[in-house]
Amino acid sequence: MEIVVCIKRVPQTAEAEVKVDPSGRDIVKDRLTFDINEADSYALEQAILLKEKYGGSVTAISLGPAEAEDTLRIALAKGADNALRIKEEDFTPLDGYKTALILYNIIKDLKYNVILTGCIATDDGYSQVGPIIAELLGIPHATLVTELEIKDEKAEVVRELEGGLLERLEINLPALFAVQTGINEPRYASLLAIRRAAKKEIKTLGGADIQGEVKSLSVLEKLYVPPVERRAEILSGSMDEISEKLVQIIKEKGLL
Amino acid sequence: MILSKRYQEFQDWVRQFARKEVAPRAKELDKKEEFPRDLVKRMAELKMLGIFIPEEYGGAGLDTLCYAIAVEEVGRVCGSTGIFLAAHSSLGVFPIYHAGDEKQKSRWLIPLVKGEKIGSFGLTEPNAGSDAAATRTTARLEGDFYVINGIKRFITSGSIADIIVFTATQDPSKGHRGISAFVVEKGTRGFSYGRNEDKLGLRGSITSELIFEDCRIPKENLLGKEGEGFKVFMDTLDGGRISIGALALGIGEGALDAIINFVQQAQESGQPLKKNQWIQSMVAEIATELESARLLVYQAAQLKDVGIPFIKESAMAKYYASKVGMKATSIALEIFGADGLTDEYPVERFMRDEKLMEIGEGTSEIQKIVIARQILGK
Amino acid sequence: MGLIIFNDEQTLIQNEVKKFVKDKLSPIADEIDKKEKFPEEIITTLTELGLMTIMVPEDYKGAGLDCTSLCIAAEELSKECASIGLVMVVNNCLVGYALSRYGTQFQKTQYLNSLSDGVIGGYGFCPEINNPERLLKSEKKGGNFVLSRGNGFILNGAVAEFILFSNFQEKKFLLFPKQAGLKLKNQYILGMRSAGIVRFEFNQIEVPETSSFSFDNKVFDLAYIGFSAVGLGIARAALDSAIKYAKERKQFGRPICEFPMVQELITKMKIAVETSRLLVYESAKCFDNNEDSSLIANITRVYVTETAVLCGLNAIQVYGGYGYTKDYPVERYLRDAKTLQVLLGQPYLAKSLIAKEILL
Ligand SMILES: Cc1cc2nc3c(=O)[nH]c(=O)nc-3n(C[C@H](O)[C@H](O)[C@H](O)COP(=O)(O)OP(=O)(O)OC[C@H]3O[C@@H](n4cnc5c(N)ncnc54)[C@H](O)[C@@H]3O)c2cc1C
Repeated sequence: MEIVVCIKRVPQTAEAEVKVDPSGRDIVKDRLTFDINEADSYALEQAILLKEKYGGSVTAISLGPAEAEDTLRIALAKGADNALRIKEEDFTPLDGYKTALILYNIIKDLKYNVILTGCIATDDGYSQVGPIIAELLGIPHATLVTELEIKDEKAEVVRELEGGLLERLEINLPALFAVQTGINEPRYASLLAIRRAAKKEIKTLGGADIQGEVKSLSVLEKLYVPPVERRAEILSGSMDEISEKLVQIIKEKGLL
Repeated sequence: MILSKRYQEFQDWVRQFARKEVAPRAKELDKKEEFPRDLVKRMAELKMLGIFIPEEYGGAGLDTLCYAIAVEEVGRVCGSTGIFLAAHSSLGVFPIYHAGDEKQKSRWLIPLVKGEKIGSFGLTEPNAGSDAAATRTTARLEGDFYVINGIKRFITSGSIADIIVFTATQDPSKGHRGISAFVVEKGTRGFSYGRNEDKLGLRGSITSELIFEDCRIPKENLLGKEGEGFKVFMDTLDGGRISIGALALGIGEGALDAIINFVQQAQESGQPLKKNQWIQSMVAEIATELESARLLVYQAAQLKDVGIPFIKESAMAKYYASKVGMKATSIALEIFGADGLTDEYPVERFMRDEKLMEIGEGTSEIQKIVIARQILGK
Repeated sequence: MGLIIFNDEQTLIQNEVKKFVKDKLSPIADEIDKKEKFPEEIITTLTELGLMTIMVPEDYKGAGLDCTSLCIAAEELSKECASIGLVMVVNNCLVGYALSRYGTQFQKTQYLNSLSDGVIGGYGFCPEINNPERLLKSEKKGGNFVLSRGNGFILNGAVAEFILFSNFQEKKFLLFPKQAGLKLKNQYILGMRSAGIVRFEFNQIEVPETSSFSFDNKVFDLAYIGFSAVGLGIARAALDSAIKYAKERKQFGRPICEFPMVQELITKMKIAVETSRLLVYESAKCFDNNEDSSLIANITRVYVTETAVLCGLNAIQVYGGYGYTKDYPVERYLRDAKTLQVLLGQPYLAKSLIAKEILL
């Protein structure tokens, strides 16, 4: 089974303070730490699990800056066989469509039965790249995948729907799956594997390697922090007074 | 410092008591987190629970210096028993003696001094630590009662105390001028305990949360005048600092005692360890520092006894004794090495116990502020 | 750019260990400490990741990495749980490295090889000072060694399947399986409560002569550097906690971080932590470059473990009464730091070694 997995290096913003840089179109990154996008680490793990079960090889692709090679190296250390970086610097600015178009251009010339991506990137949150690649390749896809099994050239897939519903599908291969977090438990790379991966070559491709024109469909105008409305109120007084006021407020809001 | 004969005799006497009766219990109290009720009883019999209280109230009729010596000697073998003695005497007994009227004294002071009742002192709150004037516990006068609401935290002997002196404010907008001192007795409705703290050291001493929920205490439980509670507490703490200084000193000396014992017997590559200059240097340094701390502690006690202002001196005594005491206990472990980490020797316990001395009854930072203000002016 | 420069491999290792610590160790670190139990499950995972055999050559199924990588891992693990950091450093330095550097072929095949399968090795020692009666003495008798009257500590002892004993008089390690006649005793210890440190005692043990092998300073240089990396982790944890708390806690109507006396407590920590980091990675680099690292290892050990103690004390001070309770981890930092500082020998002994090197 030939597996391609797309992974992205993103800033870890969950606990950090995020500031917009002077251009107004990007965030200040120098104090942030970066790591593989959360959903992508599950996609990578799923790719390796599939390989371990069905044989074949895993190719990890990242469209990103030179630092993304660290992310690819860890992918190699965890069990990917090949790693490929597409130089982001040759293509910026990027939107979801253009990203997918570039990835499509590379993937179309590779061998694949299964393509895996994460279902959403924590930085831009587009959730577009996987489905667009599939459409461009003309293959079926499923998003928000929470289970994935392969049986006789077909994939058995469980998807997560709104309202706690699940959907079970059978999909012909080749196909693309955008996986949800929690589908598996991503492993950690062992030190020996890291050591070996550190010495492996990572192939890089740039603008010259892509035929045809790749264009964005949307333009980022402005990034901003939403203005904060101050609605907090601190109640003071004795315990009784406070609880009385609190009940009053809750009643006013029609919650009681 | 040369103590007069009277003090020397007292010192010998408490030292005997501490070594014979307290020392053998120290390790176990720490391990089992056990409060030493039996020792409290013994100390009461020996009139140690009201050393500086006149005999008419059941006390020993001695002075602050004797009291400091007693806390030092007890602390030298057991920090937990030492903190009980210091908290009961300085924080439970003293404010009632200092600010209570005769009725209050006969009602509370005498049983406390006799050891029939255990005393405790509630100043600290979750958000009023160093800033003790930020008390949020409230007192509202309703007829013949004060209605108390609020929470006190870190109160030594809190959940086992029978008589608790505490502060509450009648008007938070008045800052410390709104604060009064009260007494609450165990079992009063609306007065309960939260959990006891699980602590680094002083594990044989109990530290509790006190909860007041519409707790009604009779008007007669007001200590001193309304609005003067903060002063009562500040006076209490000025004196209390001497006892924490004495305790810090005692614990540090306990560590030094252990070092001396160890070094005199140990050998290193066939040589007596006591001849090693690395060791000599450490021992000489901490012994000198502890001796200086002792001078500061005794000086503060004597000033209090003769009625000369002693705010600066008591802050210095507490600040310095806890600092050099902490160093002494820490160095003790560096001399003992791995063996000292075990409970076969008391040194790791001394280190754990000593750390509180830089925190309780005003942190070292607060002491420095007090000292600087006394020296530089407000 | 800083003085400490990691290569690609080391940076990757640092990130991966950080991630592991954040995901797997942070949620249970407090629990591990409170239970005072050796965290076997976590150690199993560490073995799988190669963290228990960082410097063991690949031929013996180790990761074949260097001292710098070891320090990186030890620092990150210890930031969350120093007991785990210590277990790992002991296994890597005093067991794994000792065997790979000095062990006989047989010992390597038998013992070194087993480390990557999850076997844990212990390190036994008798404190140097004290009653000379306690020291491990060995005599040859026929083809055997007869050891008499040992009494001391075993690091990793609670779970170790074999133990390396150091005999400093003869600069020899003795290796024997746990069941060779040792009496092991659980022992209360101030800190590092989950590290499985136990007491041992025996009157007489006979072991084959082949179980002994000589060592030199190098293994202790490495151990001191590894211990220092653990200390660095503790110190950083204490510093981070103090900074966080000082910004949150308000007294006198403002965050206590605005008071210069609190700033003094924390800046002292910060200065010592930054210096310690330089020392740890400088000595690791020396070690990795095969330079004589005794001097720097001893300097590092003295300074960094002292820093850890300072940071533990100051962090408690910043937390005030709260720091004195077990509701916050800072009291653990102090206990662990002090334990680390004196466990492998009194700091003045390290100072006297420094003096010897530069003066005599
Ligand atoms: C075992 C134990 C027993 C105790 N027993 C009693 C008792 O019996 N009765 C009682 O009332 N209380 C008791 N306490 C409480 C103790 O007195 C307080 O913990 C102490 O006063 C510090 O207050 P805090 O803990 O709120 O620390 P904080 O006041 O929050 O202090 C935190 C840090 O900020 C520093 N800081 C605060 N303000 C300033 C400033 N203005 N300038 C510079 N630095 C500042 C402090 O020095 C400290 O380093 C006890 C505490 C313990 C742990």
